[in-house]
Amino acid sequence: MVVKIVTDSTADLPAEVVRSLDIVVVPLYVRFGEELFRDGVDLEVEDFYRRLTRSALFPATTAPSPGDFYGVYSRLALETNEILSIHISAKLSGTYNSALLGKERLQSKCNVAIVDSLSTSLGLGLQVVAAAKAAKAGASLDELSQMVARSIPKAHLFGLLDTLEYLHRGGRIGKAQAFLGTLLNVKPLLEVKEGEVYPLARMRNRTRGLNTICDLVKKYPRVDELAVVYSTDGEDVEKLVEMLAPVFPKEKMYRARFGPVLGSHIGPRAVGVALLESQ
Amino acid sequence: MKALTSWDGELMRHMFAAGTAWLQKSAGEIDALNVFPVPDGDTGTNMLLTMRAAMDEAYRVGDGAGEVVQAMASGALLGARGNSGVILSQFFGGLSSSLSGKKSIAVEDLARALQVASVKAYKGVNRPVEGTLLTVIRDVAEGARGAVEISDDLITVMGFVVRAAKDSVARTPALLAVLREAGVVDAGGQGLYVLLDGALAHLKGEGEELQYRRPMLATSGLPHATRLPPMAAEEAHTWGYCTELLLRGEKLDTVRLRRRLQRRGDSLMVVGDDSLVRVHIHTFDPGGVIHVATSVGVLHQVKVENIDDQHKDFIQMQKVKAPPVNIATVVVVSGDGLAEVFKSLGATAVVSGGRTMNPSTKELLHAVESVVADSVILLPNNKNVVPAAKQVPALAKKKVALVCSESIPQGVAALLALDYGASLKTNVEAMEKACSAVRTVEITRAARPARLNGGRVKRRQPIGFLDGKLVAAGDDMKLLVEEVVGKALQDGSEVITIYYGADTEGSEAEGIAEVLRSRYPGVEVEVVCGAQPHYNYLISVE
Repeated sequence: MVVKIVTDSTADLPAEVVRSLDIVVVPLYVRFGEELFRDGVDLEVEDFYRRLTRSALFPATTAPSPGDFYGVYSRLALETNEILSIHISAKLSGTYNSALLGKERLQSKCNVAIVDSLSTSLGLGLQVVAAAKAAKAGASLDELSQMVARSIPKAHLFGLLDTLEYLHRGGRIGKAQAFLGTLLNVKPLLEVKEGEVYPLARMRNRTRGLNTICDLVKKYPRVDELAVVYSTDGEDVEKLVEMLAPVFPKEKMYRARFGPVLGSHIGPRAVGVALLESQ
Repeated sequence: MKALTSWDGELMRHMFAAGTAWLQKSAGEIDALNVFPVPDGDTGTNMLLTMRAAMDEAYRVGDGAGEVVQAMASGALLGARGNSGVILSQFFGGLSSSLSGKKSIAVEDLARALQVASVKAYKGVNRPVEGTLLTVIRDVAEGARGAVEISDDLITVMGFVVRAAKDSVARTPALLAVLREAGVVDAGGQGLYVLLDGALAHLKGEGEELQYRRPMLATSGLPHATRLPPMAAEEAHTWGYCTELLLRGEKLDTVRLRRRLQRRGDSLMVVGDDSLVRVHIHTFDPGGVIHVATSVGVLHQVKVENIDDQHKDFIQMQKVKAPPVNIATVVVVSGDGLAEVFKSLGATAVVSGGRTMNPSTKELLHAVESVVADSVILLPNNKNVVPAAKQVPALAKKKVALVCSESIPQGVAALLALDYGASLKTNVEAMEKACSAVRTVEITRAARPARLNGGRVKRRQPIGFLDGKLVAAGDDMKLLVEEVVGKALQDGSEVITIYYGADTEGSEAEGIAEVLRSRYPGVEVEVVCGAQPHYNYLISVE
């Protein structure tokens, strides 16, 4: 029986990847005032960014409830007896905790392994993709769990933001707090490291920021998977793709959008690169 | 859902117990919001402790609505902590006096009791301030009054009440400047909102679900301050003693007692009834307050705390929260604007100095020793300061590295390159590389006649330096700036930052920026008030 791979909507996986690898995505929630949306289900990414930049309301995000996970696991338990559930860093979201609580209520014999990826977006997504490919090839839950444990420190996520304001308002600023209040116009370059947002550098402009991201990527000589992600302004992504082409084949790169939940925290005009080193 | 048209004491106990549990989950966050009246960061905890005291009493009586609320009111009054706790105790006191003797209550009773509670809460405070817990209590009462017009279902009415509390909390920064400046909503109001929200959840039958969730605190729609909240005033400020006491007696007159204590301090509260009164005051003379109190009744529970100490604890608490700085930076800068720029970029200490006012080695050493970090990077930001700075690493008791920034633009570039997580050595390398990647334009007036490329420079004539070398002179300041910036630009230059000096008009700097923007469309131009002496313009080209 094939192990079922579950993740959450912050993995930002493109729909066709989710479909072809048979990944189950549990949505987080985005709330604008009284309106509650399931990430990527009731709210499309374009609609979201339109609201984010035009609505007077600032979005809030919430983890799925334990009940949401309970529902997903119970349904999957009818078709499999092994589930691997990989999620956004517990330091950034309550999702992992909800998954644990959801599993606790599960009355089935189905074996569920829940993993904190210590990352998010494609930093999480690439690990999920690798696990889903291995699951399709027949790997057992034990093998998959060991594989993911090894992949966690091999996944890296860098992001160039236009502003820290969204991260600050959403309370996820972490150690990048040190970059707040800068009187000059700077673009923060951040990394998700050990599950937290970590400040790397402040760039005076976007071009230099993109260059620096490329330099960071080039430090990893053996890269299995690579993804470029953006919130709004797709041209930057095309630039990045071209800049990274010498180190990683263009056709193998994933291109994705930061979904509504992450978009709420990083804001418009953000661009990022995720990579998974070879094991 | 079935309409609920009456509450008994049993239900009230359960709903406030749920509310208290809900408050417990967010007490820490509410503490962090606390900036008024004293930023001591304990509002959430105080309200929680007050509610616990109220609940203890609530379980000791029968099931009549009136007797439960009365027990809660007396428990809250006995156990009240801090300003917000006292106001909360007044709130329950008001509810209690309005609901006295009732077995069960309906929506009209609730609305009326909230009105009484609002009035009593305002009376409990010497100088009521809007934008605080008081405002939220009043808005809650108003919300209930409106709701009973349209429904007799207590759950529906409580829904309106909670909504009113949330909206009111969100409005507090608009009413109270200190909240606005700190970018927070009122902590006490937040506490009440959470308490009522938890009570409502219980009524709706969601009590079980609450254990999986955390309270979602109300936030305001106002733009938040982008700077760090002012955690505490920078200057030394003496707050005196926080004095609290409980007074028992007969025919105590709270109005008269308040009048007698009024001039003895701040944040005065005198609350209670004719047999039991609680006093809270921030005063420099706790003895005087106690003296007045003993003259009218018998003292119980006297608490005198040095607010300075509380304040220090608060600052200590905030320090723990702030990201730890392993590497401190000491920068040499002259000009208020430039000092602000460097501080905003994370400079730990600023030593005043520059072209003509060179700080001594001793001054630099003192700054290095005074910062709280084992490793320090020193940025002289001026060629003339470098010699004095070079002496510091050998003399200092801690690890000091010198990054020889020779100009303000180099210093800014270096500071931007600092990576808090990296080692001192890695940082020095990155910062030196950053220094060399920036070109510096300095525009000033000639102090004395000079020669330039065979021509003559008159005294007071505008002159321009590029990376320390005199490259141009001219009579028109604007044209000179444009000329020297033109020389500084290279292929791949992307950002020009213009820091204009203390004697220079911002409008002139903006005019120059406009010219540069239209002349070099691919380049970003930023104008910042540096307020530096001597130099009309300091310009970085990166």
